[in-house]
Amino acid sequence: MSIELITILLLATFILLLVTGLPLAWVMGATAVIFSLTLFGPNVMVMMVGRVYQMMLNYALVAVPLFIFMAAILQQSGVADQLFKAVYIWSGPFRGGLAIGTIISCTIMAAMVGIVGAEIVTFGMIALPGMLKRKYDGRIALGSICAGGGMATLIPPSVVFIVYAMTAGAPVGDLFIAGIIPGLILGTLFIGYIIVATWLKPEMAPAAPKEERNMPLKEKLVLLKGLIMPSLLAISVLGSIYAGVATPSEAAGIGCLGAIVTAAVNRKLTFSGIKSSLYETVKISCMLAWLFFGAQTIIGIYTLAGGDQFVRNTVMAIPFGKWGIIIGMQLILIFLGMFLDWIGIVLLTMPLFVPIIEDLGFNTVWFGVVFCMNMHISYLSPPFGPSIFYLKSVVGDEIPVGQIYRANLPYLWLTFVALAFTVAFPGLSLWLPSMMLK
Amino acid sequence: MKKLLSFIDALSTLVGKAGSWLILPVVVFIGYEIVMRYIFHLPTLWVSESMVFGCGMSYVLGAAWALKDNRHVKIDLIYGRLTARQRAVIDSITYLFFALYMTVFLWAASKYTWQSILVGETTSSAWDPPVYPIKIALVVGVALLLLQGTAKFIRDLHFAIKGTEL
Repeated sequence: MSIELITILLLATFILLLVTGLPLAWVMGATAVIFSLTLFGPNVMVMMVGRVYQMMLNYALVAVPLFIFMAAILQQSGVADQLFKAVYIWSGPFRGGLAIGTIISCTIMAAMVGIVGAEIVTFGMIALPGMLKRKYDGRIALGSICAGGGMATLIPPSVVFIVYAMTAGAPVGDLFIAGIIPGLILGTLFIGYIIVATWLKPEMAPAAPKEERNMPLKEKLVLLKGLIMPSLLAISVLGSIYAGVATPSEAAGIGCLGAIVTAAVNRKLTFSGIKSSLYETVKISCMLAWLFFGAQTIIGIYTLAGGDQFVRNTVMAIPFGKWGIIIGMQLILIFLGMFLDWIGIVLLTMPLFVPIIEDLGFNTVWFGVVFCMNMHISYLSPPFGPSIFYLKSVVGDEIPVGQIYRANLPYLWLTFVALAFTVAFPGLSLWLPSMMLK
Repeated sequence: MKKLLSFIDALSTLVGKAGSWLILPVVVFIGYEIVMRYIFHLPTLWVSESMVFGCGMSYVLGAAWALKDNRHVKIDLIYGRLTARQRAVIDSITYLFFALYMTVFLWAASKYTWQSILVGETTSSAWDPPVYPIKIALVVGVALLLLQGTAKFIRDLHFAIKGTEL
């Protein structure tokens, strides 16, 4: 069988199984098994188990369950409430202060939490009711939560970076640090949009009542306490990676201990809380791990069949030189992002894309940041925008999905702007990691 | 039949919960390692391997539990618009693909693990622990997945044919 035919049959089997609602992990595995049996015979599967076993014992993968556990503990620790309150009182004088506060709080939370779902659900519960009570326009209120929450993909410690690093063979620590400046640019663009939009149309975000804003300075200062624990936690996790004190996987463990301490300081640490966090962690990380395993198997079989060479030749045939290829890849990633979850995309495309990127002389760390921007876009964009469904799970039936889609649009366009900056100026991503102590 | 199915549920949950407790020692070990390395300048030999062992086992032991709670992501562009009974019909058919994957994987993983046990394979690091516990955990996890998936299949089939929950 020619590789062209294999590729078409493989894609057809994959898509057919996917639309029947079979979980993605089993779709990948079953497709791989069908093709390994017909092309190579059963013993190749023993080799594939070897690949899965390597993945199980991958050192960088350890950071995934640990960061999920950290997020689960932080969700119960009340730290997000305190953070949001402090930020919002201080950004009170601005129009749209609640929305600006949401973006800032999301950015700070994102420096502790690496998963988007946790962010959106948390701020959907904390920030949204206040904005709706104040009659904020949906575009400001709903969009700021989805867009701000999505920043967890880009602001370290992001689980997307960890997974990218594992598949691309790029250093996780460098990727984490590289995401900081592009992440802050994104946050600044979002805040800028809120300021401009509410300045042009003040009715979009009625200002806070005076009595709520005019808090005595002393009380305002007391509220700043809410920033202490989050800052300490973010600094200890990122700082230890930046300074080379700990590996990213160890830093995740430090983060877990820090989260437990934070919960204890707030008197929110309970045995049942730890237990439910552990249970939640294992279910999410098993779901993720089996996606890794499935992807290892299907990519392994496809590579054995010569697929990597085929993809390389096809991609290389994209016109307009190496920038044409980069832009072509962006379009493929954004398109896939409409239907597939980020994890499926990274696991299926990066083993094939990254060697090409390296051959073209691009930096894999930079490409990782660009990829995360793409995934931020996919989080916001219809029809399969995970951020929309996370928020929908919090708001219930009051707000239709379509309204959340429309609310996301301005932020979606801004993310495209940030993506263009990241692609055009690699220095934005690569300058900070170059200063890292190693 | 009902008893057997709820036994499978309970077994998956029990093993999954047990697996989740492996995360906590990993966190504690990391804290211990950092303290030993920077305060006592005595880095340990065994922490980094225990980290991957603990987490690695948890990924496979909890998978059946995650399946029972329907946590494995799927694309529900079309699937999400079907009625519960239509879904049960489709799930009963796609089960065959799941079963094919898991059966072949179980066979391959058992063969892989058995080879390792026969030679008494170790990690050949400075600490040098045996690797068979992780490989056995992989086989157990896959067997449980197949079992839990089959339990789901029996339920789906019953619902597809009779229209009532089993």
